[in-house]
Amino acid sequence: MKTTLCRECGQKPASFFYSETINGKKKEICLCHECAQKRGFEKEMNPFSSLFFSAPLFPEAEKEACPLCGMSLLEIQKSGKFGCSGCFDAFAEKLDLSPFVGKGCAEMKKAPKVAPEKEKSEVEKLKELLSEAVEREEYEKAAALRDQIRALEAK
Amino acid sequence: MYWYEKEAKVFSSVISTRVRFARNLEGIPFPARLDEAGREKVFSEIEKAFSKREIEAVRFDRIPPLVKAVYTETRLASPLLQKRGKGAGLILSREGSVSMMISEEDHLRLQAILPGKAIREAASLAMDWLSFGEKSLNFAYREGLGYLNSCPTNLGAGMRLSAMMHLPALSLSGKIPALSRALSEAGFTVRGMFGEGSSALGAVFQISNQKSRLAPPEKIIESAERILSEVEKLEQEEAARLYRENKTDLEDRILRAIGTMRYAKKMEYQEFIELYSLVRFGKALGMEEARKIGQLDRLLISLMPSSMQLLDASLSDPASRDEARCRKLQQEIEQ
Repeated sequence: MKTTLCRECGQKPASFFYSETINGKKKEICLCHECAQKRGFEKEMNPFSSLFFSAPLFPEAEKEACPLCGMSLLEIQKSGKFGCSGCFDAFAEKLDLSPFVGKGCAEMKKAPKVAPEKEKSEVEKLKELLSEAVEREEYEKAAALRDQIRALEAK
Repeated sequence: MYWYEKEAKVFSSVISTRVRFARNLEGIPFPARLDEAGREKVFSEIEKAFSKREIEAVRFDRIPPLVKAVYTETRLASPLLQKRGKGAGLILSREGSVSMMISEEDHLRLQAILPGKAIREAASLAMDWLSFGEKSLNFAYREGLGYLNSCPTNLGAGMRLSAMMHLPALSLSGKIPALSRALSEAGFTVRGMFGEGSSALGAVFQISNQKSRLAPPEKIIESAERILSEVEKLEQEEAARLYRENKTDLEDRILRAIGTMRYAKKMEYQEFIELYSLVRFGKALGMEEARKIGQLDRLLISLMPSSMQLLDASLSDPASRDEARCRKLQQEIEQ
C-alpha cells in the first residue's frame, strides 16, 4: 500500500487531504499533520488564506482601505478574512471569490424554508423498527425485519 | 437541558448533529475590527431581537474563566470567544438546543445541536430562530454573494453542518485517510475531535461541509444526509468484516474495557475516551455485555475536566477528578 507523502515537507505521511476544482483546474493538497497546522488548515479556519497568498498582491494594495472599517486590501489578502460588509463593496471585484460562491447564492433570500421531515422511505421505517426490536430483544422479529430490508435494498 | 444532556432515540454512529449559521449586521464592522463599545451595541441589538423568546444572555466579561472553559468544552462557545473580552458572549435558548455566539468571528453564529442523527431537525430549528431574528435585524447580504461573513468560506448560506461520529471500525482498519480524501472530493472534511490529525482519540470524528456556497440550505442538507448515510454504511460494513475476522481479539478488548470501567478506582479523561470507544463499538456489534452498559454519550462531556470542576468545586486537582470520574462512570453504568 503506497503512502502519500506530505507535499510540503516531503518527509512525513500525509494525513490531511483537500481537493477542489476551480474553473476546470484541479487543485489537490496533501499535507502531514505539522504542515497542515502551520498552514492553518486544521483549526476551524479559513483554508483559503493559501489561495489568497498565491494570488498576486495588487499594487497599492496597502493604500486602498475600506471606507467603513479601514481594513486595507493587503490585510484582507494576507489574512484571508474581510473586515465588514463595506469591504465586499470596495474589493469584491478585485478578489476572485468564485471558489466560495455558487449558483444558488442569488436565490438565497428567496429560498423557501427547510423542507419538513421527508416522508420516510419504507426502508428507513423498517430500519427504525429493527432498531427498536433489537432494543427490546425481540430477535426473531428483528431477523424478519432485517430480511425485509435486505430484499428492498437489493432492488 | 443542553444537547449533551440528552440521549438520541436511535443508536447510530452519529453521536450528535450541529447546524450553524453565520450572520453579520449590515454597516457595522465585523468583530475583529470592532471596539468594545461597538461590540456592546451589537450584543444589545441581538439580545433585543430575540427577547420575545425564552433566552438567557451570558456576557462573557461577567463570568469566571472556569464557566467560560465549560462553555467551550460543551461546544457552546469557542477559544476565540473566550479571548474576545467585553461585548462578546452567548445567548442561549432556555430549552437548550439553540445557542448563539455573539461577536466571535462574526456578529452572530447561531447553532442548533441535537443528539444523534438529526440533520433536518437541527436545520429547521436553527432556521426558525434565524428567521425570527431576521424580523428585526438587518443581516448583511449582497446579490451574487449571499450573506456576508468575515470568512469567505461562509459566503452564501453561511451554513455549516457538522456531525460528531464514532467510527471505530474504519479507524482500526486505518481507513480514515482514504475516507478523508473521498469526502473532500464531495466538499466535506473529517477531523478528529480529540487528539491530533487523523489518528483521533476514541475514533470520534467531526464531519462537516467545507464551504456553504451550495446555497440554498436545502442543497447542503441533502448532500449531508447522503454523505452521512454513506459513512454510516461504510462503518457498519467494516465493523461486520472486522468482527468476522477477529472475533476473539475484538471481544477480548471490549470486555476488558468493560471490566476496567466497572472496577477502576481512578481514570484520566483520555483513558475514559479509549474505553468509551471500545464499549460503544461493542454496542454497535451487538455484544450482549456492551449493550447492558447503556448509552455513554452523555459522559463524553460530563466527564471532561472543566465540566466536572464546575459541578463540584472540590475537584480542582487532576487526582481528585480522576477518582471522581470513576465514581460518576460507575454510577451511570449501574443504572
